[in-house]
Amino acid sequence: MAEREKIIDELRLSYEGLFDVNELYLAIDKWFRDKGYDKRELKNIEYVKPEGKFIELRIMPWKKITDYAKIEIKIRMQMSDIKEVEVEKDNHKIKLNQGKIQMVFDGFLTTDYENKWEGKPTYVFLRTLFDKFIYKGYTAKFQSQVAEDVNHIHTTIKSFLNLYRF
Amino acid sequence: MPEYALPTEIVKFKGIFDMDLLYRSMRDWLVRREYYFEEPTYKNKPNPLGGVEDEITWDCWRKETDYLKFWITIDFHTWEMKAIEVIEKGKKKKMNQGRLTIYFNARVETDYQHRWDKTPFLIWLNNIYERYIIKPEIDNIYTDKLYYYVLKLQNLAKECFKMEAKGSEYGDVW
Repeated sequence: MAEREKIIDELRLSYEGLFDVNELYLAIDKWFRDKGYDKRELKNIEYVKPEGKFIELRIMPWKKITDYAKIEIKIRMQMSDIKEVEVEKDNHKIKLNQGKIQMVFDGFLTTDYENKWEGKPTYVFLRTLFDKFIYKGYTAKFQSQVAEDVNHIHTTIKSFLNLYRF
Repeated sequence: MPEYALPTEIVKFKGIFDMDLLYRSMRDWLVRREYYFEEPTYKNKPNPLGGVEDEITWDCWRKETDYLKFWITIDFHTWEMKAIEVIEKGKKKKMNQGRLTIYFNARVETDYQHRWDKTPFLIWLNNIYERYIIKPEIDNIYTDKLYYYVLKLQNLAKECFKMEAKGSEYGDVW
């Protein structure tokens, strides 16, 4: 089996106020597309409740860095009490959503995703040896790339949501 | 025959929706893309507490090449489904209210014509062919293509439910 290392563990983001759910969803999609990630949407839940909609999303886009390593970013989103509201901006009425968002980000570095080094215990030993000592520089570079990407998407979403405050 | 399974996609919805529209739109989408379509399961159980519970399975396949076949299996499960009447733009419309979960499973089947499993030599040759010759194409082209097809179909279902988190920036991929 491939080895999956958690580089970013539960980086959180909370927001309450005005925003556009669909715009947010597409902004996240666009970020991943621009960065060369492949889309993977694991779950999309929407419940219509009297107090507003409840939306839960679980996405896990991934990107191959080399034939040996790939990055996976897992985002769990929970939006509650989502209501549709009309606001006036520059003398124009626009439809937005109001509610709460909770987001959790995890970043993973998956190595040997094609399971080429898993056939025999000797291979596993050699692979670990390579990862820890010979390939140390590369592994560290990959790990920092995961952290960088997770922090970047986190900041992008934060800025995106902050725009609705003004 | 080996198969390459793709991750399961799940869509859950609770509220008012048009089951007929969902059913027709998804079926048309598959038929338009030349998928052979069959419905091996259709269970309908009335619930004494109200509404009905449905379990529907669709098996859809398409011959992608002489060697590869795409499979999409869709499982619909509904609970507490009731038929209701709503007024949309001044007109009465029949809709459904309830809870629904859709599971999208897809896989790429190789050697579906069983041309490579006739003798031990052919089995060995097929192993070599699939492991070293055609593997990059299966991994990078065909499974990828099928996955984005499934995402498009999933997005169509989200459109039918008028869900908030819908749409895709990957629309031009495949």
